[in-house]
Amino acid sequence: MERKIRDVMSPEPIGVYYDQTIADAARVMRDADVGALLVVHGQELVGVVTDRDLVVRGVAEDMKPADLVGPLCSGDLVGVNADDDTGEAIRVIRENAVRRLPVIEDGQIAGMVSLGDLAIAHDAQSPLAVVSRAGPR
Amino acid sequence: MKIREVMTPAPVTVASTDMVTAAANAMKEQGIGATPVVTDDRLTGILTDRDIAVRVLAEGRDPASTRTGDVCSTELVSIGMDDDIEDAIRLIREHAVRRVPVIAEDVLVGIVSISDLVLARDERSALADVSAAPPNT
Repeated sequence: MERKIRDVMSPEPIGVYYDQTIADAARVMRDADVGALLVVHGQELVGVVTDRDLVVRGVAEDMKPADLVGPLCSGDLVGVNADDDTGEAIRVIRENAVRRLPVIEDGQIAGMVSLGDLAIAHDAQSPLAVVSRAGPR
Repeated sequence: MKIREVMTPAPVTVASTDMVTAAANAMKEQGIGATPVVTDDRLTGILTDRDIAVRVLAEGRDPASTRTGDVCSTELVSIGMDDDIEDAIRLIREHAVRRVPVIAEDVLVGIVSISDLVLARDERSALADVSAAPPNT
């Protein structure tokens, strides 16, 4: 039986506000040991920002650690439902060439699911699964 | 299958005296997640996009005045061109890294990543699709 996305996702997604700084976002990523954060503007989810975004859209564009993180995020969020099978998450990841997806439940963000989470679920011994368990680095 | 068949040859490097901004630019321009750091043409470290987020931005350092040599990882694992890809997979598992520099007579000749290895083993896996696309999220 195929597993549900809720069984493999990382619950309690972590976010930053649009008007926090790049340095704030980097500290949250470091302290929570995650590579991506949801970005919230007021009450609204506006995107996802990754550690790589901080580097290629921030540092490489001569932005400073004290600049706002919001403009670095990717909008056009593609999500999956917590009750979908993990195969659905893999399909959406392939189609969109992304590495992680927000998971939606009752209209709210319930978690994030990454390629690493899916690799662990499908083949616990794959190199990606082993490295994913070790955390981002 | 040998490392030389799957590695990315002649990787872009930065000097240990270059500023982190230069590494971020290289990561953006080349679509890569890590740059080897060289001192007098010898490999002395490796710096990833996540390292920049965690060791520079999260620490409140200015990437325009921080040297790559001061924040890169220096505990290096490396491999030879004529080693088997299974050796690289073993190193990646043991050390929980995502990429391994390839060395020939003390000179950096390439870099081999998890993505390269997974592409070599299963060109139709979800990870292969994502790795073949430019890094973005």
